[in-house]
Amino acid sequence: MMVSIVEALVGLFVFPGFLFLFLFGLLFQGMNRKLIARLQGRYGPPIIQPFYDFFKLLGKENIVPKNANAFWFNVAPIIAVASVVTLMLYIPVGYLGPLSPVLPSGFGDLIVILYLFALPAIALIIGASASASPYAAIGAQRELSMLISYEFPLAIAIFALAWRAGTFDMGELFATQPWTLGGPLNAIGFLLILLTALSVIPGKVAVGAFNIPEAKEEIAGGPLVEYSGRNLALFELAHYMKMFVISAFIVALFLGAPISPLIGMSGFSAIVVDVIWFLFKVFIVIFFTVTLVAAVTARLKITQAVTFYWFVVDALAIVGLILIAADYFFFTGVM
Amino acid sequence: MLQKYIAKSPWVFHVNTGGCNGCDIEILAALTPRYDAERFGVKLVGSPRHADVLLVAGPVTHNVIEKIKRIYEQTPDPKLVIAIGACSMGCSVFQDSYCIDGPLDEVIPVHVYVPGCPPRPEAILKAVLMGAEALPEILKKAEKGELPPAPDIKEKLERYTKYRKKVAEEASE
Repeated sequence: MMVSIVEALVGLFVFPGFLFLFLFGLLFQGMNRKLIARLQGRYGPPIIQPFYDFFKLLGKENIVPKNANAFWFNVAPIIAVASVVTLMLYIPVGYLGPLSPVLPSGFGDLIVILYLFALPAIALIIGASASASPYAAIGAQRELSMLISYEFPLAIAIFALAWRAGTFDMGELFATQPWTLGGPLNAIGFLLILLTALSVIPGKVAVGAFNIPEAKEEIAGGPLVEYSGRNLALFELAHYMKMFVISAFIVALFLGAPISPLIGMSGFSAIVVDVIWFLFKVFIVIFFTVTLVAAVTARLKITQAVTFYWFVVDALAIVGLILIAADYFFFTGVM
Repeated sequence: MLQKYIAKSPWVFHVNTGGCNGCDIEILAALTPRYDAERFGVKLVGSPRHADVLLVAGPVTHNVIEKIKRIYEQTPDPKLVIAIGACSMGCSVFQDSYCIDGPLDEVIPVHVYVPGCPPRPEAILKAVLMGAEALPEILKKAEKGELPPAPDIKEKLERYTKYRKKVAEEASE
């Protein structure tokens, strides 16, 4: 399936690309901050606070340290934002249809998505290493340790789903409900896999217990310590967009069921309702995996976080995988 | 044009230049959930590169003069400097001491003064908000040259360098 240039540009810059992500990434971060404040018994900032922060940072001076590698220092934030926006093009926003499948031939490949998800973190590591600061170096190391700890459970979760559904195509996976692929064992297995995928989100977004790379109180902001002005604004934007995209990805894979067939709608209004339903589900996921974690947990040491992901979350994922495989081989039968 | 957003999200960085820690405790008190500075967008940041507002407490001792100058230069423009407490306003009880290079406005340009020993958290929060609100005006005045010029600290820095050299020599002996 080919798409026209106009369609591709609209997809890249308006919906579901940059503008959509910009609005909802910052808006969801605003709600996140407000809800954390309410959970802690504070009044909290206005919901549009991240927009204020972003525009303020755009108006600030952009300092490049004398010893920094200026090229990579300036390019890294752009890579971070670009990779997150590209990711959004692979994720069905609650429906399959016009404007949604922007890329030709199917809906994108799960393996490409997995690699693209590592790219914002790698951009952060590149930027930190280019900024010639010891704090940034420690932050980059921690970011790398976090990357190797949460990528593995996420990969297990994604490949369990892809293996059972028999496809790497994001569109087909979105249309498939993993719970209905087999018997009750399969459903329990996928519940564990869903839990694995959800527990990866706080690590990816680096909040609460997993706010280790950017630990403001101990390493002064970690990888971002030397960033100011426009570059810092882009990194913050990429961070909030990443929070939205990873949650949207998990929702599209596991909880992607659209609501419009249930209430008997069709046409354009069905798309609008489905997008709103999708955003609602993303909000719920963000609330339980980002807001609650940030409000009630304290920061772990990096070794504790790696141990948690490698032994607890991986064990969860492998038990889920075994349950799914058992269901496939013993009950549903080899097809 | 984007300067007006600083009033909506003033990120503060907190520096002690050799004070007794009383002002620092009041600054931290202003950031606690009781006063909930975050509802105005005020956020404590860990690096001067992220800061819009420098909260400086203390009488500026001899050892810290180079550091405070560097922190001031590391903060990206437009920025606001707030002198917290009696020490940074006029050295207070440390006046005329042999180890003091202050007060603060003889080292870096200061825009807002908060008197008190120590000032109350409400006063500090109000200073941050009013100062950030007035920042576009301050910048306009600075453009027209109506603000006092940046203090000349060449002599003090030379004295500091000499002192550091002497300390290094003594240590190597």
